[in-house]
This record gives sequence, structure tokens and C-alpha cells, in this order.
Amino acid sequence: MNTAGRFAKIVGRENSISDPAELRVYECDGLTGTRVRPALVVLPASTDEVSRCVKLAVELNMPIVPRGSGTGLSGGSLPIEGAVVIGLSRMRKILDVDLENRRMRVQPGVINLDVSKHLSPAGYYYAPDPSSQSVCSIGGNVAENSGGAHCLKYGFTLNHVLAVTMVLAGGEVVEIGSAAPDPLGYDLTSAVVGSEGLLGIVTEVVVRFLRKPQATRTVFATFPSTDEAGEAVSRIIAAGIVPAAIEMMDQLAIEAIVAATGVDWPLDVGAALLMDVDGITAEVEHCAKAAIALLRESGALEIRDPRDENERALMWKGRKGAFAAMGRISPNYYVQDGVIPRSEIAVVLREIAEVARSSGFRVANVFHAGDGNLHPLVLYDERVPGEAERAERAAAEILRICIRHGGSITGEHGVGADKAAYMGEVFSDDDLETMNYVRCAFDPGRTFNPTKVFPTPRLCGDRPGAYVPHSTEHAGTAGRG
Amino acid sequence: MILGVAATQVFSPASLDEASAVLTDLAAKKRTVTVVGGETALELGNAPSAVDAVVSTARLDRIVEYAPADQIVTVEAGIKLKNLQEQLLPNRQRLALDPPLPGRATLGGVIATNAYGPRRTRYGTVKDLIVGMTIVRPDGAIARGGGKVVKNVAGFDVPKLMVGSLGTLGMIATVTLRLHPLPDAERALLFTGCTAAEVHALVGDMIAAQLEPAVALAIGEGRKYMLCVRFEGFSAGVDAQVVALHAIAQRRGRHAEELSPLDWVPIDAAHDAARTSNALRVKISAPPSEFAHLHEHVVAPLAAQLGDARAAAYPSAGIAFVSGNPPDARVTETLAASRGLAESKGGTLVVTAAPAEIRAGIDVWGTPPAAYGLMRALKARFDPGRRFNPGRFVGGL
Repeated sequence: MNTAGRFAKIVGRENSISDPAELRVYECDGLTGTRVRPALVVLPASTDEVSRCVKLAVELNMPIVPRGSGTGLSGGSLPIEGAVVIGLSRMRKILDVDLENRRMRVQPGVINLDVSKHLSPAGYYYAPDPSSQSVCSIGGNVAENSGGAHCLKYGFTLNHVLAVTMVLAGGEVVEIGSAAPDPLGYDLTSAVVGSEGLLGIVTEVVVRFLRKPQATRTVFATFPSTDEAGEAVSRIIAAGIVPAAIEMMDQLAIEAIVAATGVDWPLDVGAALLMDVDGITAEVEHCAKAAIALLRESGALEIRDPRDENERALMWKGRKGAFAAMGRISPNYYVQDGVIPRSEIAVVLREIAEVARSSGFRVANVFHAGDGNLHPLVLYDERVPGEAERAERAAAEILRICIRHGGSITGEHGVGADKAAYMGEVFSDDDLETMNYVRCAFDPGRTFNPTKVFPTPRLCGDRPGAYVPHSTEHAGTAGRG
Repeated sequence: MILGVAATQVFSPASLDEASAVLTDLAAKKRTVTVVGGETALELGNAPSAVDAVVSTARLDRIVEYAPADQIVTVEAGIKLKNLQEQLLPNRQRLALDPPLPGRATLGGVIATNAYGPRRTRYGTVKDLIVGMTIVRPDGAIARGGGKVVKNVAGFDVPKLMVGSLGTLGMIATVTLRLHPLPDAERALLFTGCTAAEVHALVGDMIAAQLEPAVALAIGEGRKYMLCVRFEGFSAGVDAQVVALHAIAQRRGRHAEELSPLDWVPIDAAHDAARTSNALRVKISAPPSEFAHLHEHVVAPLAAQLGDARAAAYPSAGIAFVSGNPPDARVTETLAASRGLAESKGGTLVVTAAPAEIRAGIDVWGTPPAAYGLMRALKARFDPGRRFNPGRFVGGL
């Protein structure tokens, strides 16, 4: 029996995909510029099927690439040549909701927004809200430690995941963490969340959820330039206000969003802020009033309060649809995900503008200003020979600006295939070796996502922890095309 | 002396490089090592099988970098929590963490033991505040994880793995933390004479009313509890929540008394006593819904057997502490039965301090978790020679 046939015996013929035409869908994730055809895609429906698929892949010496909804922006689900992609999209059941303890157990394919929708009638919600929340999966969120606009106040996926069920490289199924507080031993949940599919396959997730706040107020403000907008952010934070979210968009981003979504934002401004404050009604009123005063003092041109929930939702739809909106002003765009100390936003944006000038590319900025997580979008046209490569170089330059300012190469999109080469610029060999200890404890054979995250191939070695270079190893099977 | 095991050498490195040099040398000599901070949790864990050298963070007590505008601070692991808070005060900022004994507890120790206090109700644990960390590995190498920006997913989160690892994976050397603004206003209400079920109901009512208490702390008084609720924030929100809680009290036919800041002192003292005084101390965790059940079948029977028994709980988090002086080792049976009950609810019962005769009859941690095999594998990677606090942690890790 051929390989596809053996997997089909586990997951059913219709869920074992080996036809080249059908495989096309799985050749990339949200990092669309890079495509690799996997040997096979399987779509298991249960923990047991995942376990059997993992065992078979190991027996056949095939690397495994886990995949959720395929919305990741760093190539975490980018296939590897010869690999089997294990897609979790059929595992989308909400297994258990414990309202009293505010936690629920879900399968990894459950869509992020569906968790909150499910909880909404009872008055609860799930806090992490990546912009892709209407399509991205909880399993993918766990792999990437996804953030979102509101993680400024409420934290990242890591702060909301209590336990996972995980299939390890030997096919064994293990419970990690606990729905009860303070589980014994090492906090392995913290190792698993954000591990980008290198440690195993998560097949169930216990998340905690929150009571909806009494009130939420949204404020939209425009500014002559990003300098004043950055100043406003600093003043609001310095006043002791903790906004639930505070997002910035520059002129080019506003232009794209207006073109794509029809929001009636002015086009003749240099920057806009979109801010949420939530919590106790009286506190929200106080904070909104204080923040509006600070926005004015910082030089806001116009300040808008949405008239109703519809207008509020539209404003946020505009912000969350910003990446997709770029399609209205550019054939292609390259998303960057650098982080800088919040106080340096204005300086860094000027340096990014300089990169745009010298490289000749337009760069739109739409980002989480409250935590300094920038998303510069380098706009280019892949039909022009060499432009994609040059755009990527411009994006790399932007990332190095973030590194120089003491920041990070990724705030929420992950390292994946896209940023692995930069890891050596922010971490020493000892730092990376220590991270590799974690990987080797879980997956000594490097079965899962073997070419991702680490800049150079690292084996686990016979002596625990030792780094043994391997001459046949080569990084990055993927090219850009 | 660590749990009765005497060390022959003590080192107090004064810099990261010195710490690395000391640990590199100890690695070459294959010496066993215990890292100590403020020595407030020396009784936690099983006795290590050997301690050749104690490495103290006492001289690593500086603030390395403080960026008030970014609400970020980087400190050496030996800095005392109280000292840190005092240095943040001029900028009206704080580390939102309030474990007992802040004048002695070091940040490194707080992380290694996952120490927290009543503000866990709102702010979570130190894991929620760590942004980056530098450790010295058992082999002496310096390794950094995370960074100095709040949002960062580059690389595996080794810093958070150190939380609660009790010095078994290496030495915490410096840590970067997220800070919070000091609240403008703070008010507290007290309910007295509550049954455990009433405590649970009041906490449930607060959640239903969308209140956001910074602290919900239950202090044992005989078989009942007093429940202390604190609100923090801008005064408009704090005042509104106080009004709302009075309304909840009225609906329950109860009266809540407002506490002045002076009144908080004895409550904090009672909390600290349940956590830090007496010869036997226990921490129980369980889903919050089990609070009344655990009170009846675990906390109350245990307290009844102890002299000077004290209890404190964070009912919304699902955590309870009991301390007291056992008349003899027979309490071991009660501990074992209580642990069985807590574990059957998915929780834990950890003996955080106990006389030797009780330790002899019970594992202080409890049943190793399902992922114990992975934990052993992790320990083997970080500390292949099993030299750091050998045997002290869960399941002899």
C-alpha cells in the first residue's frame, strides 16, 4: 500500500490528500510569498487519529508540519518537502464549558471568534483577539501565542491557556497543565504555548474566559503626523490609564482601510488612533474623559465617539481588516512584526520612513501602539522583476531598526520559517541552545516542524543538551516564488 | 543548611559574570548546588539528596534598567521585593505582586517558588509579569530568553519555564518585568462570620455584577471566614464598586463594613500568619467551584487537628492556605486523605513546611502529574548531572 493509502486507513480516504491539484491549497499559510508542496496532507478527526498519524509518519521517517486554519504570517505551517501536513481543521468541537469556573475545553480547530460567540449569551468572552479571529483557530493561537489588539490589557494566549492535551513524537498522548490553579512541577504549558508546532500536536485546549466588562468605550482620533499620535499614546499610559487597546494607523494605512471598508475616516491626516477603554462603567467614563483631554493636548485634529455599537464595530472592522485592505492600494505587501519600546514609537517611525524613501517602496504602518508592536507593510508589485526580493530586504532593514532599539523581531506572528534567520541576531548561541533543550525534551528526533524557528539546524545529540552539528543538515528548504 | 542538609561552601557572586564563573567551576568539579535568595522558602520541597555549595544572590541586588515610560524594569535576582517597590514609587508604579515577607523575599526567589499574594485575584502570578530573563545554566553558560518589550514571541519561553522550578533548572540571574501604574484610589469592605458557602456565593455575585476586585481574601475565623474585598483604580470606579458590593450584601441579607487603611494591617497579618507562621503549612489548590466542599472536607478537618490553626484563601482563584502546629505525626493521615480529595477534584495539596517527623510520612508535593515524563526529560537536558537541588522538587526532580 502506498503512503497516502496507509494514512487513508487512519483518517479515511477523503481526508488523506495527495492529489497535486488538491495539495495546492496547502502549499503555504498566511506567508503567501513562499510555497512548498508537501508529500501529503491528512485531516484527522480525533486525538487517537492524530496519534496514529504521528506514529505512522515517524515510521515512514516523514517530518510533520502541524496546521490549523493556515492564517499564520510567519510560515509556521509552511510545508517542508517530503512532509506530511497534519491539519486540525476537522477537530472543531467545543467539548466542555464550565461557566462557574470560567474555563472551557475545546478542540484545536475551533475558530477563535466562535469561542466568544459561544460564551456571549452567558455574558462571557475569550480575551485574545488576533485580527484574523474570524478564521484563525485556537490550536494555531496556542502554537503562535497569539496576541491581538486587546492583549495590551488582557495578555496573550499564554495568559489564557490553562492546559492542553498533546500528541508527542512517539504518538503518546499527554495532559499538560491543569484546569485547577498551580499544577505541580514545571510549567510546561508555558513551553507549549508559542512553540510554533515544534513540540507536538495539541489536540485539546483548556482556556479560561472572562466576564464581559460592564462598559466599553471606543475613541477615534486623528493627528497631523505619527509624532503627535505617538506622543498621545505615551501621555495616556503615563496618566495611569490602561486602555484595553490602543491602535495606530498612518496616512497610507488609513487610505487603504477607507478604500476597502468604506469607513468615513478623513484622508488628509497623518495618523489616527483607535482606542478602547473597558471595565467598570464609572471608571471607563473617567478614563475616556481623561484620555480625550490628553489626545487634545497632544494635538489631535478630530476626536470621534462612535454613536452606537454599529459604528464602533465598523471602526474595529476597519482596523482588523487593515492588512487585507492593502490589496486596494498595492498588488502585494510584505507584513513585518517588529516590537520596540513604546516610548520610541515616533523615532522608529521616522527611521522606517527613511527606509521607505531610500528603498523606493511605500510603507504603510498599522500597529498595536500600546505595546510597541509595529506592523509595517512594505507595498510592492511582484510582477516587476526583483521587486519582491527588494521589498523583503527593505522589511529586513525595518526589523533591524527594531533590534537596534532594544526590541524584538516578532511580537505575535512568530518566527516560523520567515524569521528563523534573524534569531541569531537577537539571541546568542547559548540562548538558542537553551531553547533547544526544551525542544529536545519534547521531540528529540525533531519530527515536528524541523526547519522552523532555529536559525541553524540543531540536533539533540546523545548526551542530553549537547549540540551536534550534522553535515547533511541544510536549513530552509523553501524558496520564495 | 537546606532542609537539614549542610553545605560546605557558600558563594555570593556580585555580577552575572561572577555567577557564571562560579557555576562553571562547580560544574567542572561536579558539585551539587542550591541557589538561595531571601531564604523565605527554605522549607519548601523535599530535602535535597546533597548540597555541596550554596550560591546566594544576596549581592546581586541592583536595578539594572528602569524605563518608567515603558513600564518596564530589569533587576538582578537578589533584589528584595520591598526595595524594588520603593524605587518604583516615585514614578507611581509598582510590580503588581504582593507575596508575604516582601522585605526579605527576592525577585529570584519569588520566581523560583512562584510566590504570590492576595492581588493574584486581579493581577495573576509572576508568570503574567515576566518579560525576559537571564539565567546561568547548571553548566555555567549564560542564557537569555524573552527581551525587554512586553510583547515578544521570538523563541521558546525559557523564562516562564523557570517560574516555580525551585532552582532545579539553573540560577535566575536577572529578570525584566512589566509594571503597573499605582492605583489612584483603594477601598476595602469586610464581611464577617461567613460560611464557606457564603464566601463562594458573594464572590460569584461580584463576578456576575461584573465587579473587578483587586483582592478577594477569605481569612479563617473558627469554622467561618471573614471576607475582605479590595477595589483599586480611579476613585470613580472604586466608589461605584463599593456601592455595588453594598447592594450585593443587602440582597444577601448581610452587612459589609468599610475598612480604613489601619484596619487592613491586622488582616494582612492574619493572611501572612496562615502563609508563613507555624511548623506545618499547607497550600491547597482546586477549581474555585469546590471552595465550600474543600473547606468542609479538607481545611476544617485539618485545622481542627492543629494548634494555633490559621487559614486564608483566595476563593476566586481556588487557592487556600492552612497553617498550625501539629501535636504529633498523626496529622500525616489527615494530610494524605485531604490530598486525595484535592487531587480527585483536579487540584493539589502541597506541604510547604513541616517538621521532619511529618515529612518522613508523606511526600510534600503529592502525586506527580501526567506530564512527569516530560518534566524529567526537561530536567535531564538542563541539568544532566542532576546537580541543582537534586531530589527537592516534584517527584524527586
